[in-house]
Amino acid sequence: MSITTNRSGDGSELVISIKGRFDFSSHQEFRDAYENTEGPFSSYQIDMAETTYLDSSALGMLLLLRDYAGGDNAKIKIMNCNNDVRKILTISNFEQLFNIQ
Amino acid sequence: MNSDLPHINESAIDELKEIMADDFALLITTFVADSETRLQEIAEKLEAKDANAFGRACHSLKGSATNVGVVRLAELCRQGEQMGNEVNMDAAPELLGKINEEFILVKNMLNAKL
Amino acid sequence: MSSPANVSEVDRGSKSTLKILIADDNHSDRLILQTIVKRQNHTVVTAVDGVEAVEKFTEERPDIVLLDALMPRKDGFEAARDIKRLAGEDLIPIIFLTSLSDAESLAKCLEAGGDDFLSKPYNQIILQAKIKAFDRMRKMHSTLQLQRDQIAENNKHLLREQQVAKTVFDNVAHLGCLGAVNIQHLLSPLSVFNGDVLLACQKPSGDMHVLLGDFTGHGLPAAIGAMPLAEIFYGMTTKGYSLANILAEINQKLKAILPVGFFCCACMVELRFEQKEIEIWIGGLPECFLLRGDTLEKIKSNHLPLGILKAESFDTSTYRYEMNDGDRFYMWSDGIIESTSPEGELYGEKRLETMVEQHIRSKELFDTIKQEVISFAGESGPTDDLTMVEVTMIPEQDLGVVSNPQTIATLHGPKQWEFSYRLIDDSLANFDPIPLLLQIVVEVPGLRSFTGQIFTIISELYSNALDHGVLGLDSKLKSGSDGFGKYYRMREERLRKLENDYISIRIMHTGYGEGGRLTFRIEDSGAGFDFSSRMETMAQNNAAVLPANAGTFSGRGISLLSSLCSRIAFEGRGNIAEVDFEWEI
Repeated sequence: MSITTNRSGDGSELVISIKGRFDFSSHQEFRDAYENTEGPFSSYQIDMAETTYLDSSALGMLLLLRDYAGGDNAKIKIMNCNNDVRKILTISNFEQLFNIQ
Repeated sequence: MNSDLPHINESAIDELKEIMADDFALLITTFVADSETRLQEIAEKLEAKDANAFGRACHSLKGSATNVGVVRLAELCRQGEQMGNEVNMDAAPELLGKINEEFILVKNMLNAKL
Repeated sequence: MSSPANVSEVDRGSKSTLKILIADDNHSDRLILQTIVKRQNHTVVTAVDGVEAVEKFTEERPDIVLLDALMPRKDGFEAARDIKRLAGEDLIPIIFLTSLSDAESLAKCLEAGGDDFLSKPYNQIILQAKIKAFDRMRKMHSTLQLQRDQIAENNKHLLREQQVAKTVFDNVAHLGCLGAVNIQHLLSPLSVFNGDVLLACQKPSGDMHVLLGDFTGHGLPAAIGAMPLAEIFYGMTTKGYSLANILAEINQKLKAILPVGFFCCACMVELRFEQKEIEIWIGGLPECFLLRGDTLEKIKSNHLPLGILKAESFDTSTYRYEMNDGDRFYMWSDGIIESTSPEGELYGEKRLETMVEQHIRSKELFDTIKQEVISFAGESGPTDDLTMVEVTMIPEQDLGVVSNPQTIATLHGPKQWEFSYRLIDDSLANFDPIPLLLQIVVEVPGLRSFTGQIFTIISELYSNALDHGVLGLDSKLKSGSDGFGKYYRMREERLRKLENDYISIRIMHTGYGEGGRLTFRIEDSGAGFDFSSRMETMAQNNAAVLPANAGTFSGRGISLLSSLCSRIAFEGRGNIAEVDFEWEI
């Protein structure tokens, strides 16, 4: 598991890419990814192109980010999920809280 | 080759003196008494033609001789130990003679150091 | 640190003076060694052969042993083996004193448990270095032992605490009716620490609530939310609250107490034995299975888990299905589909679905699934977060008496009173007044043991007034192939269009002796019905045998009411019903 961050072109968006399993062991690293940057940004993008799996604590971490990014006003896009990851997000109805693409 | 070795390693003796301090004399007396017992044992084992026991007794004397720095005696004992281990006792009587000779020599030399 | 032996070991570990055993049959060698060791400020114990060495070791418990290899009576090799055995878990370094130099002899020393060698002539610098090195190793070893023992002790402590916590939780959770004949479940004994919670309880009406919850995480954080969840579930179910009310309350509570990122995936059902219906709410759990005859219907999660949304955004909409006797409903936590084979393959939804379809008629389906999943996971498989439950629709009388928590009868409460309560328009759509009314009524001393009957009377009167009165729905609609769904769709539609509508409820109590009379008068804004013909029928026949679908008044409802009430009367245009309930202890 590894997490990398990038800023989008105009610098207003933080892109967080998660590689491998996204589970409880990623907790600190994921928090650091958005807390240790000069945020909050106006929007966030979670790139899951290389995320193989997520568990319920990963869902919890997404909720923490959402809270950090403004709760109901947070703008968070979750991108490029594979089918397994997508399924987990769907079962939990996270599309109600996140923009899942 | 026996003659290449000194009877006593002087620097070893000096170190022992320093370590033992007041007990140096006790050490020498103990060594001499112990060795006399051991020599008697070696002679008995040779008499009994018990090569293994002969070797073991030589080994034991070799150890204490090494520690006290009487290196030529230690070397002679090493040869005795080897003969015993190889069960080749032909030269053993002659070797025992040499060991006894060497012991008397170093006993006097050690006593002189007290 | 549990044993005194270990404590002394640690004390010794921290001091600089060591106790050293020297075993050598050669007096002069022993003398030299003893002197060197003493000069380094250690305490010396001596032995002249192997037998004495072992004896002295037992008596003196030295920290380090210097052992001559060749000694009379018992040689160094044998003595070393004895000493290592006697030392047990403690690290007692053994240094062989030897003028042996061949590899075979040295190997023999190591084999016997020797840790190092010291060759003749003895060198005090080398000996000092070795003693220091072994002392460091010894200290490290005792620190490790200490930490290991502390970890073991902490772990034991944690398990004890978990046991206590579990007992407390069980005392709350076991109030319920998981043991009912129509429920089969699989739940690890310590499941609450996996975050899995399974609760079941009957409403005063006899209907049954079952909830399966799966909290995020493991251990204490996962268990902590289970307590309020269970409290709310039991508290509200026994008071007769609806699925929607209970879920809203649980969601709000969890949202308030759990940190962000912690939540509870859940599925909750209400099984209505009289109406042969199931109502289902599911948020975040894998698809549930509804087995009706030969048909498998998968019911997808359509809500966020509990504890995420604020009260105002929380959605309590539910699925409703008819269920005939023998139809079954399955719910599970993700432990089932995420069960992993030794080869690392997931059990998965497909396999589960295929398996259920194959055995859909089997009475042993529950056990079949259980066995299949357990054997799929193999011996190494983690079986402790497999949580699953099967709920079967059965005739109400087959349920028998299921024990529910009995609250001790209120000792002091009002006996003579009357109140009225009026719900208007939106309140009719959004609020269920029955638990509230029930609470007031059962405050009468002695009346609490009639909670079930009173609940039935109030809910029959109220749902008749709402569905047939205010909403003008005909219960005949429910029959027919797609009637069930149509009925509820119409109900939802009409509830959204209420205008100048109301239901008034007036309840009076008169106490006498060891009992009393409750009078319920309920009036609705609906069109009413021609009750004169009904009343005649009732006068002629035993009310309990009235034919079903008696006019706009639900047939089942009226027969139930007449079996419980001493008087039933209609007034106005048929929009007012009044009944008496007589009770005596």
